[in-house]
Amino acid sequence: MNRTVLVWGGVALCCISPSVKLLSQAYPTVIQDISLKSDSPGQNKQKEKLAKRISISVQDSTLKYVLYEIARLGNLKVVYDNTDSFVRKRISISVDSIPIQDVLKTALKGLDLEASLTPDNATVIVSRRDTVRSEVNQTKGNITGTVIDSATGSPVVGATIALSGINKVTVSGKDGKFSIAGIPIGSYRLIVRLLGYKTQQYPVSVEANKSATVTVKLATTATALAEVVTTVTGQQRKLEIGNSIASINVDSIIGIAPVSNLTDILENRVPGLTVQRAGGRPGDPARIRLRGSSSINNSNDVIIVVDGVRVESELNRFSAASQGGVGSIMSASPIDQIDINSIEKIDIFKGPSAAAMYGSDAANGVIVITTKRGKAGPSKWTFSTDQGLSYIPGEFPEGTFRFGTLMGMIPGRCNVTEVGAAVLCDLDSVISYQALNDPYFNILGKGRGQQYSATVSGGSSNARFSITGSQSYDIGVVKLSHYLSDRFVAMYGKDIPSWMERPDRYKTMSLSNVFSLDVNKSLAVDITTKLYKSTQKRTSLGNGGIAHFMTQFHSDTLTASTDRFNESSARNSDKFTTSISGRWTRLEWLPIQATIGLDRTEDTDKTYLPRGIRISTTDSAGKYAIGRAHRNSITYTANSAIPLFSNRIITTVGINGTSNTSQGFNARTTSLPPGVDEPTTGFQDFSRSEDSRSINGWFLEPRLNFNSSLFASPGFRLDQNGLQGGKAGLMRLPKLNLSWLVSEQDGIALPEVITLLRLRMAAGSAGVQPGIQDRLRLYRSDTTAGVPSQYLSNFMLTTIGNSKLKPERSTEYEWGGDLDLFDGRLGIEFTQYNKVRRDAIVNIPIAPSLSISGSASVFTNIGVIKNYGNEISVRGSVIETEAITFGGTLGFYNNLNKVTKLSTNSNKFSLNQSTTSRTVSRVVAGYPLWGVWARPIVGYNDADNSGSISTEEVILGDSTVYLGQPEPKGTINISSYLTVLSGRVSLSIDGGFTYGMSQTAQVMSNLNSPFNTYANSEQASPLSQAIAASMNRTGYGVVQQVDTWRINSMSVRYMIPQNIVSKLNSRSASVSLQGSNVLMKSKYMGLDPNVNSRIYDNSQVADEGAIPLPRSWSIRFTIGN
Amino acid sequence: MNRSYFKIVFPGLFVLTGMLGCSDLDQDLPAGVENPKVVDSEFGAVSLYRGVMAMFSRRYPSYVVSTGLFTDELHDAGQVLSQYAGLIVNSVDGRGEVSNEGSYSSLHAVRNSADQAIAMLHRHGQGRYDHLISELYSVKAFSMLYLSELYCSGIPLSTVDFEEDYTYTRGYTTVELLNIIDHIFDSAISFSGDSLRYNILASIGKARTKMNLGLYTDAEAILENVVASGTYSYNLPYSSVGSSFSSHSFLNMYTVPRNEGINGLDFRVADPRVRYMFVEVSTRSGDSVFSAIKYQLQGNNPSIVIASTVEAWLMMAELTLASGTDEWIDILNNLRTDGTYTVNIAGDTLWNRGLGGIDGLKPLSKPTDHSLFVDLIFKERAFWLYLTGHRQGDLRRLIRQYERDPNSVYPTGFYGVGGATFYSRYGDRIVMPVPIQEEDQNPLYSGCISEGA
Repeated sequence: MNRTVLVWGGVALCCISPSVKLLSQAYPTVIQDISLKSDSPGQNKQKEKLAKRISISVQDSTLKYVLYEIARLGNLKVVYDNTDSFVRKRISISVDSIPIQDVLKTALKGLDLEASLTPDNATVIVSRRDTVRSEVNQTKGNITGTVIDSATGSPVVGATIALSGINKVTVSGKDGKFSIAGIPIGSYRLIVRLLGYKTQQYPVSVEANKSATVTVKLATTATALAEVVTTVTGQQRKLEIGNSIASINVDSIIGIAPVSNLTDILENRVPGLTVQRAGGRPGDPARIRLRGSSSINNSNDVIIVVDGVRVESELNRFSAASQGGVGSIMSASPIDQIDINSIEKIDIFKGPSAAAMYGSDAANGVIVITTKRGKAGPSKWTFSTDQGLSYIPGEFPEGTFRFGTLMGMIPGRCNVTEVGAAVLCDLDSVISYQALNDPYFNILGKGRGQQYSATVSGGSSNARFSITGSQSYDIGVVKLSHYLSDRFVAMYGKDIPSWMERPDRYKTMSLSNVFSLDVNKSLAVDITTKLYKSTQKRTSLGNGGIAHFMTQFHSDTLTASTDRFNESSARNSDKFTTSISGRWTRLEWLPIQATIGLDRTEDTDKTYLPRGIRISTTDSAGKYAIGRAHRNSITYTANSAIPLFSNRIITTVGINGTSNTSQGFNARTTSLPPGVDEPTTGFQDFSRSEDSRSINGWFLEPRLNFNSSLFASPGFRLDQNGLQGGKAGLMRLPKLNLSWLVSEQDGIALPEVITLLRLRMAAGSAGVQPGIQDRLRLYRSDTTAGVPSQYLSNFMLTTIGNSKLKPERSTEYEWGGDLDLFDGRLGIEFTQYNKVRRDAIVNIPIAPSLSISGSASVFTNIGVIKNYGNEISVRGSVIETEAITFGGTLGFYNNLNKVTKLSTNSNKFSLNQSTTSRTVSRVVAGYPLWGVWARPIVGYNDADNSGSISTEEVILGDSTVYLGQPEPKGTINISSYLTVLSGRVSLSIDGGFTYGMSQTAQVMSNLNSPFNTYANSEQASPLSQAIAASMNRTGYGVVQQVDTWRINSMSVRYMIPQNIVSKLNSRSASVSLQGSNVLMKSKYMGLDPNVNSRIYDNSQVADEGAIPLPRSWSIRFTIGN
Repeated sequence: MNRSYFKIVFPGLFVLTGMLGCSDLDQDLPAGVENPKVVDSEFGAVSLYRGVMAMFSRRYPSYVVSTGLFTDELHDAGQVLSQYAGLIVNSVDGRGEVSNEGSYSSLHAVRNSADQAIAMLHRHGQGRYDHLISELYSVKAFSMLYLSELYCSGIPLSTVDFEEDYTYTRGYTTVELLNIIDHIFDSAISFSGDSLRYNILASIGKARTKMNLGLYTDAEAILENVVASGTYSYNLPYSSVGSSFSSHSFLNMYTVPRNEGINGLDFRVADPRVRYMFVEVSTRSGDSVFSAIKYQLQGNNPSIVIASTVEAWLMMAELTLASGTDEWIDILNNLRTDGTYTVNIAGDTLWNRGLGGIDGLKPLSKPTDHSLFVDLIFKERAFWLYLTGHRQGDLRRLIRQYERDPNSVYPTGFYGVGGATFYSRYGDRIVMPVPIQEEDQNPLYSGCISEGA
């Protein structure tokens, strides 16, 4: 029987096991007298240790206890076989101030035991004399070898090498090398295993007094657990972490899917992550949620860390140009301002249990992005380009009606307002109609897009670099309709300005650099810089988006439409992110790693109404608004992963903090003279805003390794936040996670089909910060008109503040398992989580008896919100041959979101928020956060016998009823790949099913149905009838629970033959045809169930006529050496 | 070595992060916010006083409009029924869909802000600003008095606690509230020191409170001192720009009524104390609008009279009637003809005050019936105190203390707005209900205790 010894606190603690691991390192040097044979620096240290003098006096105790005492007093690592009977022998020893090696000799005297040092001089092994001697029996042979990665040729560290038939096991070292000595001559099978690689078996013959040499090539398997993830406390193998952490290798996605930004990459690829998009215009942002929303008033956005620097992550609500109602622009998501071509890997920490060490701002999850690093060797380069087009698929719902025949004017149909005017309209018929399906009125055309990217990397062993530059340019699908174009020319006799014809444009440029420098053997430095610049231009389609154009007939509506195309907004964003990271390993027991970084964003908005020339007869003066915003974020992290007890415990201590500041400025004028672009005077309104916040934390995270099969990492973080007012206090954020590799556990035999079985659990807390001044009682001066002159110099109390306000806290428990079957060809991951947000902050309105001069609300910790769900991921490689491979991933995610409590007196308080005029979003205990509520339509009464039902003639129920939740109840993600012709041609498809989200089809309300249905008509559209039959009709709009199938992307790639590629001085090249939003199936009555024009709010889902996601096709060409 | 490291590094980490975590309040405040350190100073205390007065000046006019609409002083002439008119005709519940919290929250805001300013002046004034403290106590008490007159019984007095958070309270009955107000006026009097201005302000307020409580003897004792001190007027200034009474909406929305709801007085008679003008309206309403221009005639620096010897004399007249003497008619006529008492209209050419001429105020004849005595006194109060926020309290006192039927006091019958656009009947409401928001948010509040007079 093989035995293993677990080291704990310098003393072996246990156990019996079928395989030798920790003691299986070859230790040919037998030291009977604990002497040392070389003078390497390591040995010198060991020599110092063994020379340390200690005193010990123990009477009639077990040898085990004596060894424990020696280890403790000498601060040594001493291991022995805990199952051997010698450890229970009782001895007495009494020595005073003698070297440890002499103490050991004294203790072992007469016991036929001896002590030896492991090759790395790290551990003293106590064993029976004959055991050790037998292993150096010169009649036996040895095996030496190297384990390398079959794909890269790089050494593989930590692989387990076992010999069949005898109990000889070892582990490959830093350089992949291993050695097994004392093997009886004969033939064996060398079995080499490592998580993440396919197990390999090699026949090997051992001859007497000879050493057989073997090179083992390991091929990777699909298991993701072997990967290393980067956290604030340093790098850690995923298998050691008890959380479900999703990792995405970005290059593997870019190569096969039409992704243009990070949101594209994340969508449908991570169970637990949902994406809702603002619309289909270039640069439109998206709302990303991990495991459901938990904040009522605070941000639900995840935080994003790039190369150790926390970058801006909240959707940017700042829109300077919207000041004064001149117009607005939706800024791109901050996450999409990171060039995907520069990214190596993304790790997604989904909940507070995984993100606890990120502290009191990380409860919504953390996305950690690592950019590409250069590797030593000849320079490598890649270049890619995309050229594509996009369009809105399908036809728009025919929800509007054109009535009768218009009399005495241009032949045509009447609109609703003309129904009652008998002179104008002969009500002889009714037809359903949709202007956006009419080529003459349609404002949606074909968009275009192009993208270029190049990466160069390389360097020497001491200095490496990676540089990525990218550029993209998209023209959206919005166009000036033929009708509007004709009207413009007819009215003004001018050519159409080019910008007006295609007003939506989005241009980005980025440059990312990483320089890695090994200053010396113990100091390495990484310097990263990222520059990003974007210009976003668009025209305002009005609050209703294209809903306005859906209802257009031939009346005044179109006149207004013309003016909408006269408004032009532009946002320029400049972003600069830099970091310096250093790793100092001069002291092996005290490696230090530190990062400091800066993220700076500058936005400039400009809006013109009209732009350039004035064409509206109703606008007496042009409007112009300008705004600028600067946001800075400084992040610092320093930690030290202190190895203890032969690396069995890695204790990481460190600090981490972020400081954010933002400043904004807005101004507008409504008297812009024609042709004047940049007014310098005449501004009517100015506003300025500033904000700052900071968080500083200390963390401690011991990572325990029990026999390489059970890992535990408890942790603790203390956070000091920058909240002003009241007692600050420190936020205490604990965590614990356990990862048990059952398949690696000694003593447990699993069926051979099981490559890996892991069980895991994790628990932890993280927070979300309130506004830095939300605690404060604030005063302002009121100097506006109307204040008597003698009271102008005044202070007024404007916020009451809440000195007891504290950060929100999320506590999460998750458990699950990972199962790899058939050498990793089938992988199943299951996770169940229970996340509870306590102290959720609500800006509750205060009773008017507490009124002051300003805000009638107080931020209060009042809510408890629960998210409970399951995540299942199944990954399979169905066919794996040289010629064909076929496989894919199936992901399932469901989430139950519920406000479980709002206060101690929950009957007294419910929070209403009507963010639109159509529906009411409400926070009610017992229901999902920001559920959609409305009064249902219970009947009609055509009181005036007009033949049409006006809004007043719709009978509503007495009270509002719950209609659904704003976030999906769940998703199913599917992705698959097929390669043929030895990988030369590959096809990939991914898509998914989203269910349970309630969408408010406000665009349907903007149409004339159902309120203005021509009651006597037998020609009412099927759509109108469907709406009339719907139980979800409300007095505010059509609320629908939406289930959607969508094929998000499809790609066919062809690898260009090598003989052609080599002529281009490269190693590989490919061309692919890629499509996105290829198919969508849903019973949704509106335009697109997954667009949400209220993306900035936590509360609302409503399409409001936002432009649906376009379908796009592109051709991508990639080449590299 | 290890231990040395821990000894050095850990404290270092704490110190380092502690330094990084230091927050400078001066730098982190958002734009426009005053530094709390500056507020907590003598300068800040005086500025807070000014803030209260500025708020009182800006918000009191809307209270005047509210009470005017609620009584017979003003009529809603807009095309769309205003929230107050909706309350009056019971077309809205007032506690639900339509908010009526405007004046309610404004008056509480003045009360709560006054508490903050008083506390800060106590801390930093060291006796130097007692007269300002007195004025603030009076302003606070008047705000509460207005609440007690316009709203139902059951008004909470939640407090924004100085340097603490806040405290909700239950609703207080009108009597409880008036007694509290009485004590606050006492504080105002005690801090007034040798300032006759603030002493009389508080005294008139206290007398008004006593009248509301029906404590006539107490009121008379206070008023004797007031009227003996000569002519007095405490005017609340406000800028004509953007004020309630000069805005376009006011001119077009509200009309000076004639016998509003049958029981109302005819305010459109030629009386210099009520001034109006015909506004030709063609867009907002089908009605002709007679807009009150009392304050516009005061020029660029108009003001509302909060307390004056006119009011004191009017109260004295009522008290002498109660005591059974005929002196009350002399008091009323003296006010009309003496020439001392004005309505603060600059450049007035119509009112030859003191002369009793055709265009002026002629002496009144004493009616024959006692109930008409009361009517006359309250009519004189209505005209002297037109659009100063007194009428609602007067109508309630007529019901409460003179046992008048509410239907004979408050307007009744049809309520027309905007020609034929809206036509309804007056409801039974004689007080405004406390806004539903109070019940929603104040855990100690469960609604009006009584909605009677």
